[in-house]
Amino acid sequence: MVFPTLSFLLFYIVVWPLSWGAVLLGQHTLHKLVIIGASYFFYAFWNWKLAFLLFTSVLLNWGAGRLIERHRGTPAQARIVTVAVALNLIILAFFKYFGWFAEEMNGLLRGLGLAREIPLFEIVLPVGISFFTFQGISYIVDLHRGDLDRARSLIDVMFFISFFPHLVAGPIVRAASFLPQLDRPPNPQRVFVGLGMLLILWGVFKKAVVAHWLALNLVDKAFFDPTAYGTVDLLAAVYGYAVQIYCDFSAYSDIAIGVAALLGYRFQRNFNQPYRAETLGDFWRRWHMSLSSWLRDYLYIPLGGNRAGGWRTYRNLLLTMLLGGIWHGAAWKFVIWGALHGGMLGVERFLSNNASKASLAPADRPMWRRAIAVLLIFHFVCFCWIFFRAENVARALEVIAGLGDFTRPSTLLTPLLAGLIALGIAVQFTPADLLQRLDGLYQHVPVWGVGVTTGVILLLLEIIGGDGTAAFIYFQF
Amino acid sequence: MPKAFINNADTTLGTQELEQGMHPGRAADVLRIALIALVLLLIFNASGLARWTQNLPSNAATAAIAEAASEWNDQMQNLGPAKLFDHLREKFKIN
Repeated sequence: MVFPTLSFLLFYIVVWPLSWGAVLLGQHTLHKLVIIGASYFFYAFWNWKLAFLLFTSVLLNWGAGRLIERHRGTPAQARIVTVAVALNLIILAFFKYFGWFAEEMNGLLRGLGLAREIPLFEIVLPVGISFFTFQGISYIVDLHRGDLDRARSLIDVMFFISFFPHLVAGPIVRAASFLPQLDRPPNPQRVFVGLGMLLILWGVFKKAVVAHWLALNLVDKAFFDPTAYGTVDLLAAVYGYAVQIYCDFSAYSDIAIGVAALLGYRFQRNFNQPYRAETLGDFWRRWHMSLSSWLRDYLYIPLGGNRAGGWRTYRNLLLTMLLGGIWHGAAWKFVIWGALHGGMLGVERFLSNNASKASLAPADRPMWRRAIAVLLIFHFVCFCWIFFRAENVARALEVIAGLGDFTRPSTLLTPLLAGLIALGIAVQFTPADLLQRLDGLYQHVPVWGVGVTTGVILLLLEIIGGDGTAAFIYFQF
Repeated sequence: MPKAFINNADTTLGTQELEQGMHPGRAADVLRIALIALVLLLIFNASGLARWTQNLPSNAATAAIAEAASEWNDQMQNLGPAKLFDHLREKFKIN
């Protein structure tokens, strides 16, 4: 089930009153069970058998949480955490990386003249496995560190890991910030309706119009056969993909946050105008914030972060970004993408460590320097996106080579597509409090007016949107 | 580039609350908004509803739903709103 579809709308229209009805009846547990039931129905819509895998992940983490609670303060606690995290990662690795590993190993063995072959299984990649695995690990580690005060009931852990708005493509919700919300039922008099509606409508626009059109009419064609296009089309496709992936993924996050807000739950922000970043570190504070903060807190800092200083900091940065790359999928192109980001983050740190003490803080630099920094970082990120989007490394290199082919005329880029790219860039520079300003306007419109406006906007999006809705890019991760 | 557009409050990773500065309302408002929007969608995009029901798994219940949706679409086409919407859809659809 995909968010901006009639199926999801009908699903939500059934789930929403049931969940709030249970709250109004004072049945908090029933409310949680309604949400859990809806979440499993939502997940089973793709493949009902994989709902058992989701439940297994829940059971594993709930059980580990109980054991941590029982052995708190003893040496066994750390061992339980290690085993639980390892089991989570083994499940993830089996479903996500076994096929890749087997293929690469078979290639290596053949190269060495060894006849032994690792059997290849037809392994279905469960939707959202990377997301719910990371959330399970968050529960275990937050509990171990004491960021979460106590182990939670099976119902609460099921709710936390399976909650349908974030289940298949994030944001990666932290146990320490989400689980306390389950201690009390949501307050029906304190729902962020304006926030939820604005995020949902903006998300549907970004996905159904901007991402859809750019993908269908520009990016997919150019990346399918880069040798057929020249500089203008390939450059437009690279910029187009930067806008497409932002509009696609941030749309999912926006809709997820909005859908959860209307049910009375809070998620953290996942995107904050990433293409206005002035450094690569700044970019990662703005892009997929729930993943970057997860990698920072559960990987980079445990590796030592920048505490040890020197080459260890660079090693930790590179390792974190490499693993962040591999998290996206089992392919060399993601390794290269992660290595490029990790390498550049290291270069940035080296330069800032060796900058003169008298050099200006980023916010105090002249405007022209800041604008150039934004441009440079945007183009570096776009360059890395080539590897991320291309089917494989060879295709990515074809795109890069084609960027220098000025002989071919443009056949893909139209004024409309150029306008969409410009729009995708322009929204990075809107005032930071735009959402609050729009919410202020929303407060002055009567409820029926908001209903009519919502209906009209959805109809307009249906008119100008594409036929059907392609899966979100991050479903594959 | 206007300065206000590049200045942006720096925030700590992963701690941003979107609700800051937003106004909470009542849950009941959501239901009213959703129902009004749904009615508009059903009236104007009746053909979309009919298409959706035709793609449901085939059984006696879904066949009855599909038939009802088809009749609803015919009525809305005759009355005009669905016809207008489909016309606009064909006229402005890009792909």
